[in-house]
Amino acid sequence: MREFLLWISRVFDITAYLGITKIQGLLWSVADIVMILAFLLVVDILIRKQGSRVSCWRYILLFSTLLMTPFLLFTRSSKAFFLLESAIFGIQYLILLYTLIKNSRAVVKVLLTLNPSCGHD
Amino acid sequence: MIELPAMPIFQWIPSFNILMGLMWFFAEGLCLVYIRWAYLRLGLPEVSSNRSFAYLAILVFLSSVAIAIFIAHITNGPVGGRLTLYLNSTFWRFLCTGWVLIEGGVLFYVIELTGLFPAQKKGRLVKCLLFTTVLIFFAFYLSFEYYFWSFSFQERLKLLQLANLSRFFIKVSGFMWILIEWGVAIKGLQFLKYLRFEREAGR
Repeated sequence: MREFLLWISRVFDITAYLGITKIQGLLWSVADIVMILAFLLVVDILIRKQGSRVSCWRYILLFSTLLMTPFLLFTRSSKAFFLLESAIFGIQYLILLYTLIKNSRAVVKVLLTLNPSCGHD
Repeated sequence: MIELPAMPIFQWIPSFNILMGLMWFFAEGLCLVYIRWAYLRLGLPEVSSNRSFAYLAILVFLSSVAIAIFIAHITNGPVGGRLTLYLNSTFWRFLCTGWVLIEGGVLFYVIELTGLFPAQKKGRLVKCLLFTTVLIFFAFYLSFEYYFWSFSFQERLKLLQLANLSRFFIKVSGFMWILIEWGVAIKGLQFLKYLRFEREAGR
């Protein structure tokens, strides 16, 4: 491993780093969008049983991160990439945390009624 | 010319990168605490207390913040580039590894939680693969830190080469995040499909 790491330290320069980072950034940002969209839709289905629903601004904010994501490919420095990634992740995490804090109790309550073999309230 | 007084407080403030990293660390940790709470409430109501786990998460997060402030104080002072690079990059790699472990935990509890419902797979193979992959990654992290430490202070590598090495580790972590986040996304879509089917069946 020592020799491998010494070799990596010589060949893995900033250009290789930025190239791989752009591809990875695209892949994990899309994964986050799919994950949060699935989460919002699951929460929406469940809380509709209690007469409420997920407000559309959360979907709009998530969509805004989808629009920002392709620009990751056009960033020219790791600093620019990090700033854009921070904006994308910042919005995504805010949606996720807001939904968790606001709706998690209601979601668990409905899930308990969906499957009586699960615990008890 | 008016000279501004020295503001020692700025020496204690971590860089923007580290602040963002800590914010993501906090957000992901909170997701893990929530998903674990939901799983315990649904699956194991008799041991449904999540409090000690939440306290542990808070402790880890606050310790990380304290370490970040300490590193900022040291590296903003008159120290050599080698020590600055070592401390900053080691802390960043610690955060990267933390995200992998937290996301692995989230995927584990998502599989456990969805597995409580009928027609949902228990995901034993996925859990086994997840455990093995995260374990191998963690072993790689520990051995990487050992070599990085020795390279940093033996002056065998130049600063640029050390930075290259650290960046390589970050890319390996990035591969893990992609793998795990897609795992969570796919489980989420499967559970959504199940709920839609239940809704159409009128349950």
